Amino acid sequence: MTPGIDDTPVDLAGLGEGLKRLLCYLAASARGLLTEPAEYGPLRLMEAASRLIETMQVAGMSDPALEKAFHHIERSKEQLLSGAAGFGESVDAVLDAILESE
Amino acid sequence: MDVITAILERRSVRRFARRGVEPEKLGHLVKAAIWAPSGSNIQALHFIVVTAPDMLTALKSVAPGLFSLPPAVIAICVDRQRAMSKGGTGGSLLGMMDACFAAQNILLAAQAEGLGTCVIRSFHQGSVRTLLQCPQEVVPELLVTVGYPEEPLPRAPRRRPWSEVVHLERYAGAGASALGLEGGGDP
Repeated sequence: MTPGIDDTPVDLAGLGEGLKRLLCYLAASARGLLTEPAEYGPLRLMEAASRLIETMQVAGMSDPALEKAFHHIERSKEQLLSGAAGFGESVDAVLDAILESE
Repeated sequence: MDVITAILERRSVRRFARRGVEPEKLGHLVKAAIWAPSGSNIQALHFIVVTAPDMLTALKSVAPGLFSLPPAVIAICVDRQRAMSKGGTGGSLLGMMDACFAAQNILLAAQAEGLGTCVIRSFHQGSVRTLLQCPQEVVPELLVTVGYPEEPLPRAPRRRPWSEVVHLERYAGAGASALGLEGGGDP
């Protein structure tokens, strides 16, 4: 374990495992997107962002800004999947949540 | 639950409660799948039921269409060798169509059991085949996630107006109203 945010121990082994899974996800997404609808591209990127935050949470590297960003990411995915408006605004909110915390 | 109610109330569920699915219920779903129609009676399908958390996590990493971690996944696989030998040169397509019939049976049987489902095609076939240790001729074609849905259920996307898509006798024939269908859109 390595000290992380607020001295919370970071599970480096768990982080490495999560990042490997994310790597698989990114490669599988790239392969699939060759034949999938164009709007799946933004969806896959937001899902990757979501999985990255989950990996950081499991490893003990999360913080309130990331939790807030995660909420907006989940909303953006639902908007895209259901055809509802507001995907772009939700993505903006993800960036705001992270940048405002810096 | 009658069939029409199951059809109209089914939704693609992507968020599941943590509660696991009873093995006997998963058995009911697979039984329903096995009794789906089979083109030329090729019966080339295999069903791999996955419930182990480490397997589900591994599947999720190579299945971009799989969002949250479901309690169970049923992988519908086609034995292409059997499909081709029993179904001729069109056997591969028949196998894929059989997989779709089987998936729909799973969805409706799950609806009757109070379970939520989602059919997923966005996954890396080679990687899923490796993870599930399928022989070379057995190809995963669809993944069906299964679990108790987390409320609220998603809203159904509106359907195109029936007058646009229903025809009587020939393509140009307006059929919806003659068949007693008015409007369309929502179930």
